Amino acid sequence: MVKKWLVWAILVLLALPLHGEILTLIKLSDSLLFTHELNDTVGVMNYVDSVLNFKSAGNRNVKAELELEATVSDQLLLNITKAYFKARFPVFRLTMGKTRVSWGEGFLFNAGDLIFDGLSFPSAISTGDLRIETDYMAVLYFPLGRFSYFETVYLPKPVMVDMDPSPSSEFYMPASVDIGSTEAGGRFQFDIARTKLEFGYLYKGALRSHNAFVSLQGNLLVDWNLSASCAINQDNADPELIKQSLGVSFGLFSQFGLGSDSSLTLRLESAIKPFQRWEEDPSPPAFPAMPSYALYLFPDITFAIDSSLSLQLRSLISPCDASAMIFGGAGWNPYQGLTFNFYAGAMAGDSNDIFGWGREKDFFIMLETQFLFGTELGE
Amino acid sequence: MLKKIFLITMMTLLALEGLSAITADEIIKRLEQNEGSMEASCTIQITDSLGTKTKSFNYTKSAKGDMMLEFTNIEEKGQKILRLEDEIYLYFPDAEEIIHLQGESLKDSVMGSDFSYEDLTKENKFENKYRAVLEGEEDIDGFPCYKVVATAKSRDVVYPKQILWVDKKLFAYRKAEMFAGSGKMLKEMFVREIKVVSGKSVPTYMEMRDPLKKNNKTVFIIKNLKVDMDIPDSVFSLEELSW
Repeated sequence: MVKKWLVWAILVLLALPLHGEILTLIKLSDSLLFTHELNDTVGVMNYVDSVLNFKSAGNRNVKAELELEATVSDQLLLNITKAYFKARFPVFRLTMGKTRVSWGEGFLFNAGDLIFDGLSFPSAISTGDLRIETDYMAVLYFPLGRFSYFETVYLPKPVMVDMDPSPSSEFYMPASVDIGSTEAGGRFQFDIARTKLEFGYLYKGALRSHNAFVSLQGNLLVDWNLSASCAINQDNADPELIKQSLGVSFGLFSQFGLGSDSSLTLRLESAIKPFQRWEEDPSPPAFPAMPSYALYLFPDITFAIDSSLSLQLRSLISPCDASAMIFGGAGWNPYQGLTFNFYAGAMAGDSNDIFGWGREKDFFIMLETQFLFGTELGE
Repeated sequence: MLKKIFLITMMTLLALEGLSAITADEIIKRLEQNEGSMEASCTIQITDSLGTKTKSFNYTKSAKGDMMLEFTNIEEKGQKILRLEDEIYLYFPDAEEIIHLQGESLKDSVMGSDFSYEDLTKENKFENKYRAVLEGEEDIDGFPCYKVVATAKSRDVVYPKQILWVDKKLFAYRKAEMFAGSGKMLKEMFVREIKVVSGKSVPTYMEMRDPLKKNNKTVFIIKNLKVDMDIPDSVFSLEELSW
């Protein structure tokens, strides 16, 4: 598997000079993770995460990007996070491949994100980018003026199958799937009275459900956003099921300058499922599974002391069972491209709460060193 | 006869003085006449006690002040900022996401530098936001300048008071000092180079310092400058931002 990846990477690198203008970016991060385990011992994990990113450049109307991500610990995990091209025509834009579209509004909780389920928990909330999942898709984008557009999306949801019967090697190829299990939809965005309004629809074939959302974003003393979504099953339009699917996210955001080069960023987001459980579940699943509580909160405070040093405090709070996951961290960027991150996180709750103390990895400390470098070939 | 000559001489002197006298408002107006549409490649060098970090971006500004920034340095490659009169749209290519900000965020610094978004576009509304008084003339780096003290008309500005030294010949900044409401100096800017392109004087090498931090400075360099171009509104749109 490692050999195959290396051969592929070398082939890509060799192909670069043939095409002239290519931007290359490499991100290496080494993480040292200490965790509190169930038997009251301390576990240690060390892994290197590398991202190799190639972007085309120089053509004003066509762009392409390939991004490979490898996590190296005692074994190699390889993932193609992005592989797409996009082309711009006079009245529309086409994007095809593995990439991302961001529907709705919200940093962590976003009921408008029907494609990547913006009301689910991400696997970790300690890192900067919380929502960067990608998927295979074909997107048509139609600009309708400076601040409004219409967009259609089709997600074929491909399945990769190991075609090599030998147990010692793997050879994955896409297999055809039933067209009924794919996803398709669209969204429309425009501005009214300095408020952004967005609404959209997505049919999810695998779930046989019609999903719709509406999202608003504006400013009233602080920046705010509000999104809501619901789903109707094609085979069972039971009003009770529709009520259960109703999800709302609401967020507030503000940024203040403190002195000449410090700033304070405040964010508070909530995920509300009004017809779900408001009282404590006696045996909920552990994080990152999301029990069917009606309310979750996400406060986030970042204090940038200067252009190099920042402090962060963020938490996932479950008011229904009075538990929380709390993270504190600091980031230091002493030299161009080099960042040191320190994070500590702890669960605060009873052992049977979703964020309960006494669950696996209920306390951790992470030291991360990240270096970003790159080159521009052909320019 | 003598009386007549004296009167004519006096009138001529008064008329000449009237011609040469310039008011602060006129200086600001001449300063703003150097504004207009612009395209450039820019570099920000942020220096602190550990060394220098460089950010680079392409800058496009319309005649009415709309602005598009596209970062070209490795760390922020592809990130874009669309700045309109009182709102900002940020585009993050990793998340393929556009974030819309209004209010206080406009006063935030551009990528950790000593320049705020307001600094990059402030001149267009200077006259509406500040009351200017001409305090005299001083030489800056050997160039004769008007010294203008500008006090904010409302609280809706980053700097409640500014002192500007405006080149008498080019009507461009040579130096500026920015103050907090308390009177404390927040920033000091020196313009080391001014280029005249298509009849417009544009500062192309600026150095910003925080007087409280001796080892820190931000240098702003403008290259590949084009001015007074016809830039269509579509350049300042969500479609262009997310492309």
